[in-house]
Amino acid sequence: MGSQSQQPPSPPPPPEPTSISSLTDDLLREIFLRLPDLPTLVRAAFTCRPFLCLVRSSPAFRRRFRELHAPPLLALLLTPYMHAVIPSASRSPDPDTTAFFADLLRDGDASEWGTSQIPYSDGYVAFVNRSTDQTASYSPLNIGAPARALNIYPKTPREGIDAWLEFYTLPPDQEDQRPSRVVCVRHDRSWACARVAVFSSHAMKWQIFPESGGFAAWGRPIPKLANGFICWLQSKNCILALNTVTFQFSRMYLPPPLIALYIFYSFELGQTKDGNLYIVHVKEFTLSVWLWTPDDEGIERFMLHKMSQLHTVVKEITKRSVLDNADIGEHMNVTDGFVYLCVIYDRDMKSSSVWFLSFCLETAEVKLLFEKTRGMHWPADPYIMAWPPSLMHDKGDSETEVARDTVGDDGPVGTEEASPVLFTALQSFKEALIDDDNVKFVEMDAFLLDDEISSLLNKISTLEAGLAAGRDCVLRRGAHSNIYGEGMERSWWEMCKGMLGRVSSHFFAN
Amino acid sequence: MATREAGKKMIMLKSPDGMEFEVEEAVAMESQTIRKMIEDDCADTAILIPNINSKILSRVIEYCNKHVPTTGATGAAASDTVAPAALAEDLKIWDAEFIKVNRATRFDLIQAASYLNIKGLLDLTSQTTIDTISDNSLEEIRSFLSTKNDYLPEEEQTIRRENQWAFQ
Repeated sequence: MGSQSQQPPSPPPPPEPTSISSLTDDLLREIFLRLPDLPTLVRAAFTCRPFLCLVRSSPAFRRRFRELHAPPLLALLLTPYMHAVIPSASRSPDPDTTAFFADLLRDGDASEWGTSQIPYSDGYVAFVNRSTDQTASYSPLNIGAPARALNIYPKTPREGIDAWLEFYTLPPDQEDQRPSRVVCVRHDRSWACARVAVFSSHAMKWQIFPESGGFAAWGRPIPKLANGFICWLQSKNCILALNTVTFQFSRMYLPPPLIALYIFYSFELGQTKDGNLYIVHVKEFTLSVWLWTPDDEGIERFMLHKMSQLHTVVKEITKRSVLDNADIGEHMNVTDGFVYLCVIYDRDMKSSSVWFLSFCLETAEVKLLFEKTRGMHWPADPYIMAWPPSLMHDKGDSETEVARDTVGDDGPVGTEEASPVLFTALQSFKEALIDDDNVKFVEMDAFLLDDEISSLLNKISTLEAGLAAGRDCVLRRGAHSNIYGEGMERSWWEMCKGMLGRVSSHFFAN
Repeated sequence: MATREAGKKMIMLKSPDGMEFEVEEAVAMESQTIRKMIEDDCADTAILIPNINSKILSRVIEYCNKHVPTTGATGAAASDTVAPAALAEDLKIWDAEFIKVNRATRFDLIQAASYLNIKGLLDLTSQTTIDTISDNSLEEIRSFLSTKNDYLPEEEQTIRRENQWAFQ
């Protein structure tokens, strides 16, 4: 932690026994970093003011803590049909929480857009316009992911237009002092090209980049958007990456072992804190990480960076001696330096069991999130808890500390402020492009009308507000005194940690 | 315990209260701080370790002695005669005994491990503190850490209400 070079504190006078307050702040923070999880940190921080100040005053500490500890998992949102698995203190679903999640996608309003009956995948919710049959999909779920995505497909696919628009909200980057931005990518299959336009919340206008030939994205977009890249799986062996600093496309070829194994769900992309892309791949209980980095000859490619054998730890956690009937690696998810894995035993049998695990890419530590005895064989998006505001600075704290605290600390977590910039960007989208010479960028008629934009965005804000409310509700449940009155042997929090999956409630089905 | 053996370079460590400890260089170099001094040629015949009294320093040396990799004449890693797993198990038991000290001594050891940059010892000493924090209520943590609760009762109530999820 680099604190060793510092001058140690002057020795306490001999008669006074050494206490924890004799330790330097750096040393105390180093000890706090070893705390097992966020709740414990909260308890430690609130023992006295100096400790709380210690945690609050250091963004570096908080970043480091997040790197080493998987954030508390509030719920798992499963696809298709947006089933949610939420922590529950009892065996029956909690009516309040269920109601919250159930309302999220209920079609009650007069909006043009309704949610699709079609199961969605990869964390996207599908919307259908009631009058035009136009479709859009939106990915609100990856709370930990730095960007949100909205895809809009033409009203009626016309001959010659086989294109769609993708909008990505990029959060502000305070370290580079970049404002929040919306990136629009137009993909066109027939022209085999992709174009990019960027809306910045500072400039309040769109900037259109020249056409990039030969970069059309086929297949599915890879919904894990790393901070500096938007990625698509272009073909069997190639990832198309859009650098969100330079807005240049580049092709990244998959390492040969992964090409042979090419299956949609067999790998996930992530990004190191230095901004390098990596691939996580799990096969037969071996987790490998491939880092995009220059090889010996200085050519960038995916190089094998780390391999971890998960056999032993999985056997320990699942208490099974053989792994013959077990699957791992499907439906994993990489968020903020953690890989969320699901181990399934006896997949095809009624008695199948599922364990959800988190794997810290830095420390290789594997933790059990929860287990479940009935099948849950879908991709799952972890819905993680944001850093508690109580562990960040109050307005009442001293100015200097607040000033030190402003650098990119709030992290990518949380649902706030996500839609306004998207809203503004979409509103200005049509005008900006029509007035320009870049009409070709998009044939707007084929995509959206003004009122449809509002309608769609209303729908999306409702969804996001709903998810935020769902999160609050889960937290409030923790505070609910009834739980303790029921003679539960374990606290809610332990339930949350250990028995998250007890209840799988169907929330989003129509 | 510091008997001179052929081929083993000895280092003298001095505590501020005037005690001197002669240890093998390899043992002293468990401390990254001392290692750096030796490698940078800053080390004279004796190295003064400020801030760490003889009582604590002797415990630290005891720890390093136990944890220095058993090296053969060639300097290669641990001997093949003892299985690594058994060795690790042995060390774990030894560590558990070693850390059975009073609170003040443990904080002294934490400070010493931090200053001397001995990762294993810092891990061990901090972990014991961490374990206590992890398993106990706010009051127990306070009493264990000998920290004073400087929150007003109403503040404390607010904290508990707002962070209920983290409190048992």
